[in-house]
Amino acid sequence: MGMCHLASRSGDDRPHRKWRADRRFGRGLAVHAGERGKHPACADVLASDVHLAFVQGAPASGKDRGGIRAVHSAVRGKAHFDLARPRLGEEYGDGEHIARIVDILGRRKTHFAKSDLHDGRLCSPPHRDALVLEANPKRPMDARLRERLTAIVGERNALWTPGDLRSYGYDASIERALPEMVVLPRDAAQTASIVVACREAKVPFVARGAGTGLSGGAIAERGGIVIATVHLDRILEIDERNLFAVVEPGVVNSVLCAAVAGRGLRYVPDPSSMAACTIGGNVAENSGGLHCLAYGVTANHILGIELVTPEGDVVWLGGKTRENYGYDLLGAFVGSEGTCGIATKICVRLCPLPAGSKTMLCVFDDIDGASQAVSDVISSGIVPAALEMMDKTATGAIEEFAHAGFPIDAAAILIVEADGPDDVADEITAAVRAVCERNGAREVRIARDAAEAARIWKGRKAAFGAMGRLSANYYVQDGVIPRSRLPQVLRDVEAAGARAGLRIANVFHAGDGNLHPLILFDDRISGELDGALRAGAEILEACVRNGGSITGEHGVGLEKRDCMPLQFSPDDLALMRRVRDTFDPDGLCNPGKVFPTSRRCGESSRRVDRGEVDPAGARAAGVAF
Amino acid sequence: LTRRPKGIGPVPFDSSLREAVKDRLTVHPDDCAAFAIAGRVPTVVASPKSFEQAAAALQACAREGARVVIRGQGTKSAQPPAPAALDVVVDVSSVAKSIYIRADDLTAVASSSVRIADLRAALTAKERFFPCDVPFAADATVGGALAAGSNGALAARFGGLRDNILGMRVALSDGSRAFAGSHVVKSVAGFDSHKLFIGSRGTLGFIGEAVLKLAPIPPDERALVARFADPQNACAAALDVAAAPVFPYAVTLHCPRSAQRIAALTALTRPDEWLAVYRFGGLRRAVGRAVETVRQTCAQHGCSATDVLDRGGVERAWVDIAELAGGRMYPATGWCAYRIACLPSEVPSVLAAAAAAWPALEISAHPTMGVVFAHVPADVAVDAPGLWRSVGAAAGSAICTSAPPGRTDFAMPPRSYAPYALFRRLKSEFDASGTLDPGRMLGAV
Repeated sequence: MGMCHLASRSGDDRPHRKWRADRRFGRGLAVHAGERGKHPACADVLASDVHLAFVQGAPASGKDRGGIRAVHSAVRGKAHFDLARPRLGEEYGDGEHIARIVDILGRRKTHFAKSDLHDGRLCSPPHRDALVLEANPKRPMDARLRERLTAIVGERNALWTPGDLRSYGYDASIERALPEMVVLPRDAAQTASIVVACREAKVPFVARGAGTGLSGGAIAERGGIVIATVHLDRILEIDERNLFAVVEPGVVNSVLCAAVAGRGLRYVPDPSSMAACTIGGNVAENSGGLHCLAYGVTANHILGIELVTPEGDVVWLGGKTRENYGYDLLGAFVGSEGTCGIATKICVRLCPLPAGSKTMLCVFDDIDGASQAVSDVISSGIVPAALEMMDKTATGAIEEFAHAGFPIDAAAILIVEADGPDDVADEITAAVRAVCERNGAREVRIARDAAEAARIWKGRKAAFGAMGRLSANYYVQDGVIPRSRLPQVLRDVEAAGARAGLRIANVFHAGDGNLHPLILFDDRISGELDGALRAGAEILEACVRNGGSITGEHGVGLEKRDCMPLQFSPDDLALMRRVRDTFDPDGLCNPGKVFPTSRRCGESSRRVDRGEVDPAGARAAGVAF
Repeated sequence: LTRRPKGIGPVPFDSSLREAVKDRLTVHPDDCAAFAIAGRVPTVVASPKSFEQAAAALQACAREGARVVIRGQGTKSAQPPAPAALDVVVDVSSVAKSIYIRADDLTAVASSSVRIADLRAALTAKERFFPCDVPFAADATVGGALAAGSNGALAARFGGLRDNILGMRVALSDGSRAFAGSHVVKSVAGFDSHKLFIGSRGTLGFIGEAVLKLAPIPPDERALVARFADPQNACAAALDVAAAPVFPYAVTLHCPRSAQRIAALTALTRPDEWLAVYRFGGLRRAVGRAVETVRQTCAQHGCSATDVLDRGGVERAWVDIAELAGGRMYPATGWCAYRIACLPSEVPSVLAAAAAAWPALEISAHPTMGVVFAHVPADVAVDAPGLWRSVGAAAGSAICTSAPPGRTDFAMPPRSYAPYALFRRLKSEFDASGTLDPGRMLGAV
């Protein structure tokens, strides 16, 4: 599909402004709908397959109102109509042209939606009188592109049969969408060639590691090409003297940890999925883990990245040294959820293994006491290696399943790990014990040996799996709050569950204030899915209301993109958009992620109305549903 | 404005800028001269009193294409490269100051005009500290420190500025204002746009306020001071310490001349010995064990003597140590300063190369971080390309952070493999008018 530029109503046809409009909408089209009768390119545009239209504009004069009312009526009844402004017809338009376009789109059963661009939140004023059409991701795969990509990676590494594609249509979230093709490059040169080919064909591409993400970040929602890092799995260098390693993005987290452990070193970020997730995926999501309380998240452990930009250039952001000069593009890239390019080499920082560690279990009869103990531990200057919390609902399920030695009658437990040689760890555990006892802990138990410690941690790591004993499905949330707000927000979580008529188990990284409420429901019972999503949204609202964040480590992806406006204003999002545009002016690199669409946080229509939820399949994936 | 060198003129620009800052304009050439940067005197100095006024001032300048430098206390304004052109200085030192400390959550929000010294005092009263030591701490502002992006020795344990800034409120040259990041210690919501402003030298926008990640003042704090005749041995010891699970807060190394500038350590310096300073914090027993472990490591590497500083000694020493990383100890009128980044294992060769190039230089290093600070007296001829060749074998880079006005022989060639195309595109996305401190960043950005 080609691009189309026409003069705007204001007559502002300065090239840079047109260009910006193009870039902002990526593969879409920005058709300025002013100057009636001067749109010869419209027909060509509309002959293309289009699936989404955003109508946006400045208040129109009276003569346009008739036309825009036609838009309104043309859209209504012909396709899903979700333009939120009921008085749209009186507010917008160069009606005649929009109506003509909409009529054609309507006949094609086009899906219409209000965009966040609609009220100009992500769009600067020069673009307000535009109709934006977005290319249909479901168009047939271009055979020439398929041949070109196959030539780059070889036949064995190019997948397009429905059976092959199905494996790449999901991750550990509830999101589902099939790509048009999957390619498995072996190096940066192949990756760059793939990106160039996609760019020239104006086809989106999505990098994918192990598919363990919890927010749909690796889902090719708009079709296109999945670039899987399966073959980019080599550990290229381990430098013990300078404490770094250079790896390819497909290296599994636990494989790297095992490779350096024998040298007395470790790569610290340890997400729960570390046995399967890749370093590339960790970089994309800025993953955390149990030990990031004391040692930091992924962003704190990445020194440099070899990047294939969305334009196909290969550059280094950062390097092997601790300091690099110029803008901190590396800092912005880590956690950008694959929307700013594809990492092909990653230089990670290594740390010495601790001289030892001790694990303690602190048992509370009321959840407020446990919450306050967490807050007091952090504020007292003690920094344990890990500080986790679970409530009674969670411990009951885990104990039946994992026999970790958790008391099932306690309102909450804390699991604390103290690093250091015995005498140092003893000092830390003594300090934590004092804080816990001051906050009403009924028991503080220190694991006598490594086996008991392993049992406790096994219980913690089995928490999500154990939820299967309590309900058919669960929906895991991931919000962050200031640690001092724990007691209040945990009460809010409980209230959200009560309003939805659902139980919620809490298992979370208390030291960071990173909550993981597990909302328990049964998808076979009408309304429970919607209730779970609603409760999830309420929990996120509580997090933001208390000064927190909508995600601490799972990412935004598709799952939470519509919750972004809870935390960020339109201006804040526009700033992020500038970053995205810096790396990816064409908007082809993992499109549809992070930035909000028209729906509200927690709305289920996208998943349910379009029949995308496959609870059975999702259960098989083993995480969310 | 550049076409009206004699001062403020009539509409439209002057009135919009005047309106933006509510008449707080300085136009007299003598007054403006106090804000000169690298010999360039601004035509106008605008002094906003609020974040909103500062944003409006930037917007007014952008509309007219007037080249702007945002200035806090001016402690680092002279750092090279100088701005390519200068019309307006937006002096943000008068922007309202505020510090909001959430001691229990280990976070604080500080407006950019707050002086680092005032921030520290406020945090100390709450038994907290901001774990980044920045040069010119007595005068520098939060915004200036972030814009300069100079990491200190505490980065060894706590990470650099980018690791300790959780969020930021910024204003861009088009007048848009936004918050980036979050107010909590862990968040992956959206892009970390705020990190781009750290070290951006005011070329992307105005940092209005920052959310800081704090650390509790540890129950115990000590430093081990070890003397080495040979810096190579000192570096080897430092690398061994970095690979051991003792996690020092900071490790610094100073040549004999540099060490004599640390007032609190004068009694411990010798004219022919280098000083290595290991700073620790934490619970009492952990600190004691770490100090002992490092003492033994240093002894194994031939250190001649060690001493231990208590908390008071550490605090006194650190006032000067932080400034040895290119701060007030080496004013630009008398010194050229270089900041050289390399692999930690290459610090000895960089030290040797620098010493060979300039026998009169003073040198400090953060050996476990791979950062070397070389200070060359201004009356010595500088062979920057020569030094570049010497350290070029190392996998790092070098920049000049300070030089006397008018000197042109100091400049280091920029890294050829840095992503300058992305830098330029970022600059145009954030500052489409190109009016914010043009030419300040390496690579002709």
